[in-house]
Amino acid sequence: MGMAVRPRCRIFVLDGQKYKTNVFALFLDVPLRRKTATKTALLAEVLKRRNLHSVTQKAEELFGAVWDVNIVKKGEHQLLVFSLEMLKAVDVAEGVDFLRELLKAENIFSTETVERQKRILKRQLESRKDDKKAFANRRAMEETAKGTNFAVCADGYAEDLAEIDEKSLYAYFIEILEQTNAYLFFCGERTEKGKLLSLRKVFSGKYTSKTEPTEDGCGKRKPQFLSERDCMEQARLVLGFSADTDTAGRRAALLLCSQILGGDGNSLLFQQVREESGLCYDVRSAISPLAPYFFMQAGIKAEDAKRAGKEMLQCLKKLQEQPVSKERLKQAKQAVLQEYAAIADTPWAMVDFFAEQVLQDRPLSLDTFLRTIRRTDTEDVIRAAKRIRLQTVYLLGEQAKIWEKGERQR
Amino acid sequence: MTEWKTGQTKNGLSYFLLSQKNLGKTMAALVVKRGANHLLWRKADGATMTFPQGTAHFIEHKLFQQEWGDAFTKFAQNGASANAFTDAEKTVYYFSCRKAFGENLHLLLDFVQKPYFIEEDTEREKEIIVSEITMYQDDPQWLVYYLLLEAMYAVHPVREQIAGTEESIRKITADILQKAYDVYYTTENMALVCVGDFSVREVLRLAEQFERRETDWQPVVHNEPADIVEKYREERKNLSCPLFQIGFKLPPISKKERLRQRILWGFVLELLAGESSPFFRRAYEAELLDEPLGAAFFCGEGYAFTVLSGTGEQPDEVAELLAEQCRWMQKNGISEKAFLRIRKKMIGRFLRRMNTAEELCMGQIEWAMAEAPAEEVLHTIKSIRGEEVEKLLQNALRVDTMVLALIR
Repeated sequence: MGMAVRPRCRIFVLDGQKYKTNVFALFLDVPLRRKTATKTALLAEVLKRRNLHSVTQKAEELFGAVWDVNIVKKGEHQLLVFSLEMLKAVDVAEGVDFLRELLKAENIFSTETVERQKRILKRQLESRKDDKKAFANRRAMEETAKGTNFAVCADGYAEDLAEIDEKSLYAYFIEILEQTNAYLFFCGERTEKGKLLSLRKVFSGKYTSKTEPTEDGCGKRKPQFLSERDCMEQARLVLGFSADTDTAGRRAALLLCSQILGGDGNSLLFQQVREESGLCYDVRSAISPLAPYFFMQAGIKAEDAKRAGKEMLQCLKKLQEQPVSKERLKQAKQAVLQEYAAIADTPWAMVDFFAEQVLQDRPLSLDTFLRTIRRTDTEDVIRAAKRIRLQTVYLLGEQAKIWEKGERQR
Repeated sequence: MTEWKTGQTKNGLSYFLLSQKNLGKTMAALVVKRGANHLLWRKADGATMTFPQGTAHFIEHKLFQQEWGDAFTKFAQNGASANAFTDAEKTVYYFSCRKAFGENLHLLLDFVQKPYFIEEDTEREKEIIVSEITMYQDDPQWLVYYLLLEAMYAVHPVREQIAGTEESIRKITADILQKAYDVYYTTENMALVCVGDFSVREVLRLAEQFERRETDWQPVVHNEPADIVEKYREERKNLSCPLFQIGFKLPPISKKERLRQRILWGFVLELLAGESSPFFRRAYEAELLDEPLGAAFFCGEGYAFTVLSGTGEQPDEVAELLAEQCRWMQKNGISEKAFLRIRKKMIGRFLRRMNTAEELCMGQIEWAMAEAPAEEVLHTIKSIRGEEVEKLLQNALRVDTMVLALIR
């Protein structure tokens, strides 16, 4: 059976009849690679801040339309995102014109503009470590996914900025406009689709199939212990694990694992590490979007790191070895189902969910995924928990110290 | 626009109800109009009582713990997601769910009325709260905000941290929590906010069962001087880029004026320092700022102030430029064109926050403090005139009450 040729810019209209606003989100899908990550990030800064004053005034005239050009990391994708939310009282055609203006390549790549944005991006990248929690999570991700594209930072690297100039950046933007797959998500009235089609002219040509994702080679390696020093009152402990997210069923089971382990105030981590042992206020687990990794994190006293780490691992062990009760699984399902059902409550969450489905090239409707969660049983959860393998123990703190012999310290 | 149903039960509980299908989740919040600021209390006979800093927040932590077990767990069993927060003026308990709304609302109204403070639990909770306090010490936004308040306020408890300090927390006992609960959680100082798909009749039936609780004690409003404590505060935390806040200390605002004043200050801040303002344009061109300053207005019993937050290597120059712009606007007034553009923006911002039950409910929690339903907000935005904004700029915004706080 022959496949229909897909245009390079695919348009998805999500039913947003019930909302007060229309949302446009144009994703330019750039493979996340170290050699281009900084260029893409700089491009977002340049495109956002050109004609900043007049674009801002225009948005205010459109009843305070909210817009942005930014970078979103989803697994091995570095997405250059142009977004706009405006009241339904404003004509969709005005939104399309607004986006087209943001995408224009003319008169923006002067030496002065690019150098200014390089300085801005450099400051932003250097100040990322001021947010200790986010910094610890990012470092844990880099270490856990080391050697794969998942470890690449989508915000770019300060040290890579020097080699970018206005000519190379302009050429890169043209390359993106001419070759990259684009996805336009519009959440609003379905009848407005015709007004969106003109955006396709910016991205002529055919859709190209994706590059193969990199193999995750860390499944069987020995866990890394790493501690880093920083000026802070409380240490951040992050445990990074590899996990199996190959199929929708396995993702659903992992989500339930995460919910039971550290999803809410009723979770194993919360009840054990916080309520029982009083070791912390903040403890939780999380799954990376479109990446086969799982994390547990806590804010603790540095001297409690070993005890907290052990207790966190014991919680995982408990889940791996003891079948979770039907009642607890039911509660976890309810919580996850509520969270996922809530996707349909906001246009941005709808866009985010459907973008993830499209990027995986195996679209799944929200209802189908909710059914998958409902079908997941105790055995599935145990299997998912057993596939979670410790890769990294990362500690950031004032008195971060070596854990055991042979462990690294920075 | 759908209308809110507002009123008061026979026992004095205020309510703001928006019954609307199609929002997905349904949400309910019980607002206790007592928060971290309410430390000093007085009776008609002159007797006073003082609670340690962080008491309201401590109660919020412990109230979920009931004699029969953990209310968090019970909400989870009922398919609801529950949480709570405390700020300077209020403590809020809330949940959202897709089914069993009545059962969850009953639970919310029930557990908030039945405190179960025991010494052993109270002692254990101290470690958790101390950990929370320590966590905030690594949050530069949090630190700079309190530096700013310390520079602005001499005596008002708004300058103290919501969760308290390790020292103040250690003083709290189960008995103190109970005493504080008895004066904080009085019915006339509570409001119920519900948004989503529910029967108004059923909610009112449950709300009517809410018991009346009263107290002879009243919170003391501190006599805060109009002047600031000092113009500049700085602390070193080894940040790669300095984080700063510029604040203006304002005269306190009466309760009935708060809705309009809050909106008026929204206009002032947009026109003074918003992303389309001449100030930001100049600051951006001079490379003083990369992003517009974040702006907020706060007010409560005995205090009102604005905060403008940003990052950059030259905060002093930013503050000077802002003061200059302020003086220029006080002298020359505001542009009609800019005013009308900002009014459109404010209308859009208000309507944009009506997509979800959460946005509607959280918005109404704020307006409940001013005893106004959300629909009144839109009418107020539309009724604001440029002359009113100019008058406020000229009369209430004083450059000599401007404070700069900075974390390096």
